Amino acid sequence: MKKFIFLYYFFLLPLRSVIKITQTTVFVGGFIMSLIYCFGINLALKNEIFYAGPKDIESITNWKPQNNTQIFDGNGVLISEQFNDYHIYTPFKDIPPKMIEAIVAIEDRKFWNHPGIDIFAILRASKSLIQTGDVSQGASTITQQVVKNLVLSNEKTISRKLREIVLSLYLETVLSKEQIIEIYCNQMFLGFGSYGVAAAAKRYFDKNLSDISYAEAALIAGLFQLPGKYNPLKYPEAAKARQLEVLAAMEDAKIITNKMAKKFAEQKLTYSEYTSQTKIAAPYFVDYAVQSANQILGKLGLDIKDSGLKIHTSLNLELQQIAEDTIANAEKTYTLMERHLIPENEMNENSHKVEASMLVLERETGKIVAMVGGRDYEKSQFNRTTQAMRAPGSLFKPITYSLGLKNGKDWNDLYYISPITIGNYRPRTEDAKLFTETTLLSAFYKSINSPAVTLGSELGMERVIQHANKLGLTSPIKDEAASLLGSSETTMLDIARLYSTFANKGMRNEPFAITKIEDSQGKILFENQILSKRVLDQVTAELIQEGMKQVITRGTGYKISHLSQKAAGKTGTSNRSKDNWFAGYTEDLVVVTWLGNDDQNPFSGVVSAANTAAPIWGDFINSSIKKLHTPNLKRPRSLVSARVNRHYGNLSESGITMYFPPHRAPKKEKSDLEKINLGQDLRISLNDF
Amino acid sequence: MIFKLLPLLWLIISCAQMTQVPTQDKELAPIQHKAIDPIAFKECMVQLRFFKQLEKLSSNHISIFHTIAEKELCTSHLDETQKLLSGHNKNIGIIFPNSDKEKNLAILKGLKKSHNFSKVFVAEVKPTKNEINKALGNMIFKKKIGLLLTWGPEKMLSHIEKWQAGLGLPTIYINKKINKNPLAFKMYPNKANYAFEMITELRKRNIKRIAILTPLKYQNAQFIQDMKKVFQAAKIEVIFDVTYDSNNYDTMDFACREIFVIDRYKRQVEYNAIYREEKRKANAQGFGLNKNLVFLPAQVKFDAIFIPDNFKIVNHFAKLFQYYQAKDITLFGTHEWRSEELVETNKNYLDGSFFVDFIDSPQKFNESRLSPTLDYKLMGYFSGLVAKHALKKAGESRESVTNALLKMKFSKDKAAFRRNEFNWPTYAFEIQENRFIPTN
Repeated sequence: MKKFIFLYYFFLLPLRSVIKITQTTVFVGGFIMSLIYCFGINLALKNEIFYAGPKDIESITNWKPQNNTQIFDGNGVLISEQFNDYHIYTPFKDIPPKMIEAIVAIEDRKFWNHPGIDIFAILRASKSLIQTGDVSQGASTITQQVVKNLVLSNEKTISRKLREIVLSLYLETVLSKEQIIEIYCNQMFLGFGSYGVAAAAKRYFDKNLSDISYAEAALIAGLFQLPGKYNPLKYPEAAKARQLEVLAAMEDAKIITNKMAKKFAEQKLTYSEYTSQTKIAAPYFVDYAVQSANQILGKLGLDIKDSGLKIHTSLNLELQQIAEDTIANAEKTYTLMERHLIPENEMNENSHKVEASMLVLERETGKIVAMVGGRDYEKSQFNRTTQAMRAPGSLFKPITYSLGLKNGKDWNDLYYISPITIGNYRPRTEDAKLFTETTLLSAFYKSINSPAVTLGSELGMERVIQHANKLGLTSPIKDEAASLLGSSETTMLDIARLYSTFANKGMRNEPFAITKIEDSQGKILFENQILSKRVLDQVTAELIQEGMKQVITRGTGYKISHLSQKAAGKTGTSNRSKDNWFAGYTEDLVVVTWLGNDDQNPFSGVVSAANTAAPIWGDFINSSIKKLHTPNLKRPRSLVSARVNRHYGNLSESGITMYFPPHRAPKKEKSDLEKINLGQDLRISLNDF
Repeated sequence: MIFKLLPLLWLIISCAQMTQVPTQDKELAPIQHKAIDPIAFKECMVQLRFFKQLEKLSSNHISIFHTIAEKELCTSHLDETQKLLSGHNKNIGIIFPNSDKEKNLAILKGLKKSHNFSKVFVAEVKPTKNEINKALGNMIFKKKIGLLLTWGPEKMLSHIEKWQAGLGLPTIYINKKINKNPLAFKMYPNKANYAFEMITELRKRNIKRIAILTPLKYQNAQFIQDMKKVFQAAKIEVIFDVTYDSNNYDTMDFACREIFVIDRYKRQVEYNAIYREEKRKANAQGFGLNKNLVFLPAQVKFDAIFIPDNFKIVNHFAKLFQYYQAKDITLFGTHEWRSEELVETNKNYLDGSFFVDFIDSPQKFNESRLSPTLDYKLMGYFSGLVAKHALKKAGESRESVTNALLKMKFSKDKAAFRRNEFNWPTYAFEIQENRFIPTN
């Protein structure tokens, strides 16, 4: 007991006093020092003693996370990101501790304790400078690196270093450690276009940051020093060596055990060259959406990349998938066409011999809901829905017919199928077996050329071209009779716009991909307004719809006749089957399909839109109808129907149903031609004369 | 006595077999015997032969006629039989076959247009001898017709013709191929008038050289042969005479190439020049020459083209002619062109072309347009018209009906019948601005 009393009075009591005195001194001294320190720092900054003022630090204190521009489908699903520098902003709370630990271990082990600078490291560097004159000795803390990266240049001078120190010290008084390391983790360049640890995780491992392993975290942490040198895709060995250094540092810092370090070092890293950030889905659509967004943003003085914009599009991923599957599953058709390809022009090896494309609009709005610009985006990025200029063939005919019907022609008007000459234009002679008379409707659904040209020449080319422009065909149309058969090239987008006008009973919509653009703060920069404009009267539009229904029921679309209640459409085959189209619509969608060769090589006579484009179009419609529960096409409201002989145009109980404007219901009960063709002609034969 | 009633007996027996007109017992009269009048014996023998013939035609009558004495018939009942055979109630009888409904209907419609049906008795029969006999018996002895109008198969018409002389029955045949006899009147378009009208029109247009495109079906038609002779006589030169098949459009195309000399070998120099020019143009535009577009224009060495085919074929030829860029050609043809559907689709290409027809106006039939079915309507119409006028002018005997027909005139110097053939008026129509305009 005495021993304890002795010890207390002679050792512990004096020691406690000493400690108290020391503590008080340290406390008071620290307080005074802190005051001097803060005052000094502020004074230094205020007077820009070290060439650094508070304004310099603003770029850090006001730091806002940078992000990529993101593109979403119609349901808000991310389909693409656009960037010059790849960013994935991740707040501190979402950064895995192992990532932070690895960074701190290798870059700045005293980060959580120092005031912004590591005085011993600075002394070390100063000694090196004095001894060798070398200013390259690193002593930067994470805070200093943030300052250097966001405020200062890479210049290696003493004055810059002094500024860095002052600003770092100041930064630590303004921001918390968590805020500083959050900036560090999101802003630092880590190679391969990526900025920040999450971007690097995606870029090198195609993983979300939350999913990375210790080994991967160690590799990413190693990139901060020299991202170019340690790029694992380019220099895997150097990257591995650096990873080992990080793991060793982590072991030194007691973050991981030696056993763990070894285990992580042995783990084989699988790198994934993540290049598809730009196009996660619907690549042709994304290209088009970017192009459209750029046009919109250009007017606002913005750039699509690095703006952290949110671009909302019209894409429907389900329909896109159906469209892509439909195009991918048409191998039989491609094989058939390839067999009949006549290789007159040299062919581009970067695309298939037979290419295909499909464009789908929402009928009512004109939203582009699916776009397949080719069979294989990787092979050919040429978008055949928006970039290819192709001859539409008979897809042009509804323009001429609608103008005719608008101007008093009727579906039962009689026309002759025979050779035609308009000026110097002599289209390919019709098959002699076809030489006969026909009604306008029959000529339409069988897509017979001569009545269309005759009708067009009666109306006049100038009027037809004006009408075409009005309906939505904006590509230049040559002022020649051949254009009546669709020889003037146009884009699929134009065709879709045109058929959308018919689908909307004469109301023209503009097809669009961008519905809304928001900035990174959620402010709406652009919102698409659907502006419909009447360009064709409803009566004529309904007449054309009934004509296009007959195309499917008994015309060139006979292969999809099972869709006759649900859809209306038209085939288009250009000269020598170079282009094979089907364009049409349901109550929900407007769909256009094209097949052909990129280099304008023709196909032999076996190939036509009827046996290539129409069945593919039908396949898509079949699937979309099931998906969307599409109802039957509505019956015309402004028309009257009559049973009419399809060849001669007279009323006939055994004829087909034709539609007419109410005041133009047919009255002709008999046809002389019918009597002749049926052998019922009662005229006196010259043999009896 | 029985001989006196013999005609009546015959009538009764005939009528008894007819379904349309059942036998009526009250028409039977008591049989009375009379002495033979020798003067009338010759006439009597004629009558006898008639009844003998009747016996041959109808086996049902054999047993009756075998019991009849020649003398009794002739002497006792000559007046009655003559009266029965010759007398009439100004009625018209019509016998036609129960086939070919459309044609029948057309004729009857035309007839209705010209005549009040109260004086017309119609028998639609199977074209068998028995049926024809029954119908004839009813018409002659019961309806007492003054004139018969008939049409149908040639066998049927020749059977009626056999009765004609015996019955003294003037008959209008809507048929061309009937043998000449004084009581047979042909109601048919008149070929001579037709040819005359055509030549008149050609001369009016100063057409001297023509091409003929003849359909295969009319290659051997007498009409075509006759027309060629008429052209020759009128000093109209036939430059091309090409035949085609109306059912084969390739042959029509070939015919066009033939008459327009679309033949690069026959026109080699011209073809080469066009070829070079087209090639120069194509090269200037940076394209290769599409040989299919090297066309020889039509070489027209004639003033007009005669197309004796229907409007459907003419329409196709018109399209082909335009295709071969044959311009300013007059086309001419026959009544088979008659249809508004000829001009509905041809714009003005056929302006100036013409055809000859035997109808002057569709309004006559309350029709808004010229229709092919008018041919037989017109025959019915004209038949009814002449029958009505003849019966109006005729006396009590059918002989007077015949005379009235023979003396009938359209105008002061134009007889209705020439050599018992109807002097059918003919007209020409010119196409102007998609309408048919009568040239006179």
